[in-house]
Amino acid sequence: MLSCRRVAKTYGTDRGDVIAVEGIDLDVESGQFTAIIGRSGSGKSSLLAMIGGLSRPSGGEVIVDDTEIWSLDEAGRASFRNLKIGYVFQFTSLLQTLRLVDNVALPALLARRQLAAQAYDKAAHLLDQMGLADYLDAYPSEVSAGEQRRAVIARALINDPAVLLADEPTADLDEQTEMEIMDELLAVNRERRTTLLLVTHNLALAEQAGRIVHIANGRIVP
Amino acid sequence: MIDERPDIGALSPDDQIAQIGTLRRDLAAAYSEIRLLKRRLERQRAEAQEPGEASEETLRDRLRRALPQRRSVAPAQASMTLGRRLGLWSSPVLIGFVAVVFVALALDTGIGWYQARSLKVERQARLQLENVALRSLYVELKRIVYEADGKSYRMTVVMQNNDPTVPLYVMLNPVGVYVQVGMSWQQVPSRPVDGVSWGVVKVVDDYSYDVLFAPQVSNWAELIPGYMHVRIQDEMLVSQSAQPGNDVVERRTPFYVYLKPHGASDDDIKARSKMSGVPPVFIPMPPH
Repeated sequence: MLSCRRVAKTYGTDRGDVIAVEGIDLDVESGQFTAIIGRSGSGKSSLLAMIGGLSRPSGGEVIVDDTEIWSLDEAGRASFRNLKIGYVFQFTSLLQTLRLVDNVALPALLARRQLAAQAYDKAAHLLDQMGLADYLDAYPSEVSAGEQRRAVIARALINDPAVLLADEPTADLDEQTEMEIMDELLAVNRERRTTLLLVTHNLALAEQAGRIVHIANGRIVP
Repeated sequence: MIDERPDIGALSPDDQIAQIGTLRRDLAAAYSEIRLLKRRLERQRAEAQEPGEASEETLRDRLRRALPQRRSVAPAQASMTLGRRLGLWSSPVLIGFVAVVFVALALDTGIGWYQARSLKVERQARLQLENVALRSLYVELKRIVYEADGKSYRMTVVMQNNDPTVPLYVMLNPVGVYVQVGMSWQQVPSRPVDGVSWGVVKVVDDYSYDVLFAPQVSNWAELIPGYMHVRIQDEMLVSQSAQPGNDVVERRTPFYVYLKPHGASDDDIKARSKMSGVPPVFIPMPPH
């Protein structure tokens, strides 16, 4: 269960405060696939960043698995983020100096809940499920954009998160690759029962979600 | 599955639209799943390198096998480059070693603390005893008189315990007597009086003892007319216990006197020093 209570975000700029998110209430059931749609600048990514513990809200509460994540201290929130929340950003976000298998294993190694050998074993399985079994030792620059995005999904799943947040994960991909990545995300939601929160401005993608939340001017449009 | 769908003709227009949306979503999800499974199957085929067409049954089996297995065998073993040292901390040998080192350090720290505390207690006790030996025990050279043999002197030393409630045990050592000759000190014979020997005495209030010495030195330094310059070194060990261990301190008490030689002429001394009255046998001086 994921809940937002009157979540707000205001950015201070030289020209004054900009309200990105204005008191949003949102409940997402466990295992649900929810799409958040809206135009650029509507507050979609800001909302996702607050839900994911990346950007502190100006007000309100974000509750994931009965934990108000912004009441945790920095270290507690980092640990919670690592274990409970998976991210797929609109950019690749892989470490270029590490191989794909290293990139995927890294969150598990940081969590220190399993031995390195177990983390690597699991990373190899996930990359295999994403069709990247032949690229374990490849560096990000040696694979295509779509393969990089699959590796990012594998990395997001390494700690079996309760929630997977995807912020326009197919924004810079061609149509075929976009479809493949969406198929993988849907499979994660369907097969693992992972709560999926997808931010997109692509209505065709959003229509595959069990629920669509439309945001405009920092508010949910009924 | 289709049988569970409601009769779309019997629904209201709004419900029909909603139902159509649901059907479209389910259809998209089904297509998505089909595409995914096909891709997985293709990957399996490529891995197995199985040419030719497959039967429907075989296809189903392959599709089932293509579903992700959480506990399947790793497809390939990638060498670990990160976190190898994390596993090291799970090694019983390393944990045991760290535990031994920790215990050793803790033991060392504990012993160090105990020793430091013991030394502090001992030092305080010693300071307290030194304070007693130096302040509570008063030692005075009472007098020096001629002996009848015409060459020796008898000096009387008095010890006084200022705190009679705490008796002191004092071990008397031979008293050293020195006469200044030129720029140096020459030791002369000394001994306790007959019937007395050096040893431990209990001092409750007062205790005195006599020492005989014979300063038979010919060329003694004459700092004041007609008198020898004599240093008397009284050394003793002081404790508050009759059978001390480490609780004993050494006390050295020097006395400086001017001593009139046997057979010296009082008139000559008086004439040379302009002294009035009878010149005394000894003139005490402050320590110097």
